[in-house]
Amino acid sequence: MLEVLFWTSSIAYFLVGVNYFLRVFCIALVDWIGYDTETVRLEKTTTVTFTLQFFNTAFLLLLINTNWSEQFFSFGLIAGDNEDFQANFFSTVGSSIIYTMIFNSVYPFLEAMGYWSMRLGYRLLDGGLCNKYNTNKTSI
Amino acid sequence: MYGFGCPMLFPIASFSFLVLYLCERSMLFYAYKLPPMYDHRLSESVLNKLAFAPVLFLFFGYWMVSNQQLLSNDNLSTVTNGSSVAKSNHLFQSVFTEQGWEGLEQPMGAGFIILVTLYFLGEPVNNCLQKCFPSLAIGDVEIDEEIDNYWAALDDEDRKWSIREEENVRAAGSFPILTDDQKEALENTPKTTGKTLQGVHSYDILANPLYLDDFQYVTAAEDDRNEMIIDDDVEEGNDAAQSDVVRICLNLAYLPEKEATNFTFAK
Repeated sequence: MLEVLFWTSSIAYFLVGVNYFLRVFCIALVDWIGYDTETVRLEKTTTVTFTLQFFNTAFLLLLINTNWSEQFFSFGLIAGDNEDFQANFFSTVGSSIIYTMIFNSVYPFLEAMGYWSMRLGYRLLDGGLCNKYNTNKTSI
Repeated sequence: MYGFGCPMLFPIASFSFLVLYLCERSMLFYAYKLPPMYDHRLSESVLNKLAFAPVLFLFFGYWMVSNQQLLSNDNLSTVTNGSSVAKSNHLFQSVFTEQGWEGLEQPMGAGFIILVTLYFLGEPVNNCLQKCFPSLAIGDVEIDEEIDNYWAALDDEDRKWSIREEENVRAAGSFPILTDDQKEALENTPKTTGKTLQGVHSYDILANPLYLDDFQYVTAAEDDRNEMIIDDDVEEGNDAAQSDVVRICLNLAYLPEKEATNFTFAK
């Protein structure tokens, strides 16, 4: 039981981690391609990021666990443990998806806190602990 | 997508939206810079993606509800050992049989077909409907905000900004921004009793808060402008030059050639 909990939680954190790097990669890729306006750039970024993350979170887990050997055409999906949305699917893939979504739901808060901590940390490194108005920078 | 089989996902999704909303709102007030002015394409792109969500929900919902093992134990199959895969007896071809359209499967399947048709053929269907029922058509909306002429439509702050900036560049012995006629109209046209201009009122680059910020320009419309500007010398009388030089440099291209070639950045 503990082992199942460990693996489903690990998959959830791993998926969120992979999604973060996918997002960073997509933003860099769209910036590298370059578009004429900010709107088009952001539209392409959101579309590519959404599509990749959606596929990575929702479809990939489903596909690698699918076994369609019973169907008249399997599309090559014969290595998984689930022939359909059966009990086994909900106890493995379903629980992983729910863990991922729970972690995803608080992720914006964690990310904001992470970047805020980084900013605070760099400020402390720059100005020291005593006076928050101290700085080694020559311009703002 | 999996909401029909895992209803727990709906409250989790609601909680996600709440957290995202609170985070974005807090970030908007405390962290983000002023965003660029995005146009309608961004909203349309999001709406297009969201329109596909019910299609996926109905497709996966149909497939889940048509699985005879999900809601009843009467159709379970046996497994020979722990590693063997349990047979579902849920085949693609069941969609074309009576069994595929019983109970809840019927509204889910029909809803899916209707939504897919609308998603991919929505525009032609809409065009046909508009031909049959012309009153359904939404024509071009003519926007008439009944705004007065430019000089009258300036609010007090914008007018003050333009007058002070003009006076400042002229006093500094630089080139004027407005012609004399425009300056007179700016100073003497009474303010409208109707609507005034919203947002940035002028194409002057330094009227735009984004550029104002980037150039660290303090407008001449500020009453305590000299106190707001800090330069690196002890003389307090020349502080405004920090900002004046920004305007002059931005307009160097309009200087007469003789003045431009002799222009120096000395104090």
